[in-house]
Amino acid sequence: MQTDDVGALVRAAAEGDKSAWNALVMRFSGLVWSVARAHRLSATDAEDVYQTTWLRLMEHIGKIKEPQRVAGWIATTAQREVLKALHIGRRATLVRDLDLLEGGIDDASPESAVVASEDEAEHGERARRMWLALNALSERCRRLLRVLAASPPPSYAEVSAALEMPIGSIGPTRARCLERLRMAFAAQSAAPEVTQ
Amino acid sequence: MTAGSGPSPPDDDLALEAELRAAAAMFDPVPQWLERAAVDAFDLREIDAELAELVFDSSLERAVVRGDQEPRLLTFQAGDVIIEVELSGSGGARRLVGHLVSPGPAQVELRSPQGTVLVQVDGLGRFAAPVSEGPFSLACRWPQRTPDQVVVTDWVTG
Repeated sequence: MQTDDVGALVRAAAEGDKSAWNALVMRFSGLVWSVARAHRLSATDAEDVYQTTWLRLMEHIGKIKEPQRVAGWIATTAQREVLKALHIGRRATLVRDLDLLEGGIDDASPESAVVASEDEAEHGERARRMWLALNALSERCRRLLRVLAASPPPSYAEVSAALEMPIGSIGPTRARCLERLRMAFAAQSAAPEVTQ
Repeated sequence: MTAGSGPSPPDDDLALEAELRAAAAMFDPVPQWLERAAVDAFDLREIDAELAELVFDSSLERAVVRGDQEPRLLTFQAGDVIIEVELSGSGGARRLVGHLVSPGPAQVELRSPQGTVLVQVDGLGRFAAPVSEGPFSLACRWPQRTPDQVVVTDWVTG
């Protein structure tokens, strides 16, 4: 289904249109994952949050009161599942920053992968330091920036629902946290030999 | 916004955020199998089912101590149909014991992303089944009723 109108997608999915459902998954998959990963859940708990959020949306899709605001519904549902997982502490284990990073690197680039050019290598190295810098921030900043970094970029209304933050405080907090990220990134770049 | 050295221009912030987004896509992408599971979730939909909402969850009623082995109690309700579930055990020994309060003999299915299994229900509406970690839901049917009635519970991460 070719439309940017999420309300229309919700209504079509409620009528059984699978392509509309697929479009909703593609549009909000990154948002749901970012909410799950913004909190210090184990990878398994984050996966459960993601899956349960989509299963709940499937079950509720015909009952969403304001289909055009489905993003808020999704973000709120994901956030509630995160809180439940944190509360139950079922399989919650603290995830170390380096675990996060190593997991990503192992998946994305097999050891000594031949990079196409030095530019690409440098680009990857910058991204790696950016990721380390993010994970060195305070919880509040890390959480907000992780959700803002979802693809496609979430609206402030979505971020507000996802993190239970007043919309008005997102802009100023974002600016402060990006400034801290800039500083942490500079610190990473100044001490490249420190990897542990 | 702030005094002193002054805030960075918004363009710089947008560029930094875009760079962060690229790093997130590189180091913490949505796992492909999960995205496929989200797409496949739609196939579990029962279009005419009534939804039994979660009306009680013992894990939200008290502080949970890590390693707590007390069973978790869940109650779902749709009209006069009440489904009570007790979850216990952990890891590979997780078990669900349930009670369906409704008139007439019913069938119960345990649904999860791994598939759907039929669960034996006794004459008093009691049932039990092993359950894996992760999300699950129950579907209840009354084969002797016309028209067909299907009640599905909301999804819960077990």
